[in-house]
Amino acid sequence: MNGSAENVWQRLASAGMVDGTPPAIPEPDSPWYVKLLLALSGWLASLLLLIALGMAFNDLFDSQIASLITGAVLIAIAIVALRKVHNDFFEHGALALSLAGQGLMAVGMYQFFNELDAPYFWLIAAFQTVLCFLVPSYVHRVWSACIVVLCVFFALQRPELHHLVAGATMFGVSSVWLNEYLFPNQASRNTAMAYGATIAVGVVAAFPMMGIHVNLLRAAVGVGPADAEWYELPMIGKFLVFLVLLYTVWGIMRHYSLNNRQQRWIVLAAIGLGVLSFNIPGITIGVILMLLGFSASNTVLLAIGFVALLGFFTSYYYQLEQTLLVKSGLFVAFGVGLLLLRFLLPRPNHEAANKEAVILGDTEPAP
Amino acid sequence: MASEREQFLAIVQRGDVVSARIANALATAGIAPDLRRWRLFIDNLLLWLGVSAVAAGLVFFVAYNWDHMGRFTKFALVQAPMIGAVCSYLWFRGNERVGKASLFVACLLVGVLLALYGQVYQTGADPWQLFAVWALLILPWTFLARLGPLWLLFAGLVNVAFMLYCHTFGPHIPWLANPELTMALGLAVFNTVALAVWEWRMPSHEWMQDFWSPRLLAVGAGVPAAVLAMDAAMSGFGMTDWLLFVVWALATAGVMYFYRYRRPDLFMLAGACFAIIAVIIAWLIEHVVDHFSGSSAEYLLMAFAVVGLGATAAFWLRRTQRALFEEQR
Repeated sequence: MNGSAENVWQRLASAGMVDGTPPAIPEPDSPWYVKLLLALSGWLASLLLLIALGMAFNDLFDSQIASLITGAVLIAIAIVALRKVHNDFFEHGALALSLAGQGLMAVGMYQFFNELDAPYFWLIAAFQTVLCFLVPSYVHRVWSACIVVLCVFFALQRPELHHLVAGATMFGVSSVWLNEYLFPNQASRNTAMAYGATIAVGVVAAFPMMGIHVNLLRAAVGVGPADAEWYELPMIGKFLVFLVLLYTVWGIMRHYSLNNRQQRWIVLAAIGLGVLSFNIPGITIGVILMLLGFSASNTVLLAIGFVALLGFFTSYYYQLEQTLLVKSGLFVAFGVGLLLLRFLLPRPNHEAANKEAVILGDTEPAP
Repeated sequence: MASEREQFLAIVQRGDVVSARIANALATAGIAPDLRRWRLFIDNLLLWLGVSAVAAGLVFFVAYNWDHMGRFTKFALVQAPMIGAVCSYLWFRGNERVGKASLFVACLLVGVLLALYGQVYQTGADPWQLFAVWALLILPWTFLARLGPLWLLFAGLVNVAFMLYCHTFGPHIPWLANPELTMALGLAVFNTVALAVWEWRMPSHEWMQDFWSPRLLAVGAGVPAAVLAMDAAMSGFGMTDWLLFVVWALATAGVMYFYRYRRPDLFMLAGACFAIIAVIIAWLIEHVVDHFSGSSAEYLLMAFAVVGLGATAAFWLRRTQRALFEEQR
């Protein structure tokens, strides 16, 4: 998968798709684990900063105006620093300042509404959406997009529309990855937001154990039933995820020149997979992410899909809505169905398959 | 090196490829997989997802509280698929992927069988014994399969068995502060040895040449090792603490040298940075912050320290990434 920029350019040039001089080889982007280090240290520093501010100014958290203004000032400083100064220390500091500012503003907004209900979550979602566009930091955008999806999920509790959030978000995520290069100048912002939304979907739908925590949180903030132990997508939510699977397969398919027979097999396989996993939507979401990751040669997305699948397999055991017998039947039917599907589909070359391990990729882009 | 995706983005950003031709360009550049690679991927996905789902279904089936089913029926329901999986391995030996997947399922079902045995006969065995015997029984198949995930399953079972053993008996090395540290030491040593063996054998075994197996083993070794070092840093540095700290520091330096110069891997270096930051923060909390106790200054100082350490690590990692980029050009 690797090569010099000249190689990519040469491949395109030899096919007559580009001409002239190749662009400068771009600086490699920081890998996900470096971004994670940045995010964790920023988050921890912001927490410490909030405690320090709270101790230094006793009334800060009690005064709505003071917390809103201080929060806004901290976020403004962070945005200016991130836009004007390109220095590791300032970038880290700006991230911590912004997160601390968001914490203060969240407290101030709560004091305005005095309850954790839909208007509060809508306001936070709108505020974080603005930050997604204003704050020029990849890590920050991942965070903000994740909070937006979670807040919309909470805001839609009372009208019982939160079941649509997983499917609707997956539709957005899928659209971004399928059209990654359509808006090349916004690619970084769009993919950061897609990663953030993916994490949020993982929290509310793909990881049932985390779903329990979400329900506990809902109960704690008074927007969900107190006895809720499990978040399970109802029929409409599952159907939406099924449609997203078909949309994703269609989106990938249209990039290839396929004959009618191939198209028929792919559509049948996608419908078969969707039907088999209909009652276990966490698996469908994992499969969608893996398909998107593979189609874009994106090993991180592929790995997120794999982890989502693994997480769902292991935590599904604790789901209490269905008996173990029902779950066992669902899994065995799903597994046998997939193996049957594999048997029916036209076979790849086995020797080549043995030589070339493709699942999850055996190589990754060099640092 | 910048990935092909990043290189392609640079080309599209400059406007060299118009949006209508992006799909074609992606295929030509080799970024979008061709139909042959798609077939292999789908084949693998269906195979592994299918066998995993069947194995998980059997686990749930056995775990269900069957009152009306005889013990022999229960055993037959687990043993039949297990024998089937082994037969499938023998049958499909020519098709390496199917054979390996079959053996993987057989290894999972050994655990189901042991759990069922304990449930039916009420052996009173501790859970750690189940995992230890499970690991022991699948060892020959693990050698036979030559499959990375199966070795990771084996390592995982040993880790779980040791953790459960420690929870049950609380073995305590006298010179360590508490039994949890004994557990951390055991896990760190086992996973470090496993990582060293993996790195040693990797060049001569093609099936070991993936990037994520050694990384998982490194996480398994690095986290408990960092816990030990953090405890040493917070314990006032007695003789044992110094010894533990020096061993950890030397091991971390060795890891950083190996993964910087011998087998470059930025993930391992980032993990080492994580560990170093955690240990320094632990030391700061214990030995510096206490002097300011009760004031906001201590938290402000810690916030600066966290930002500074994170920035330094990110700066060094980016510089190393660039250096590796230049070395590979």
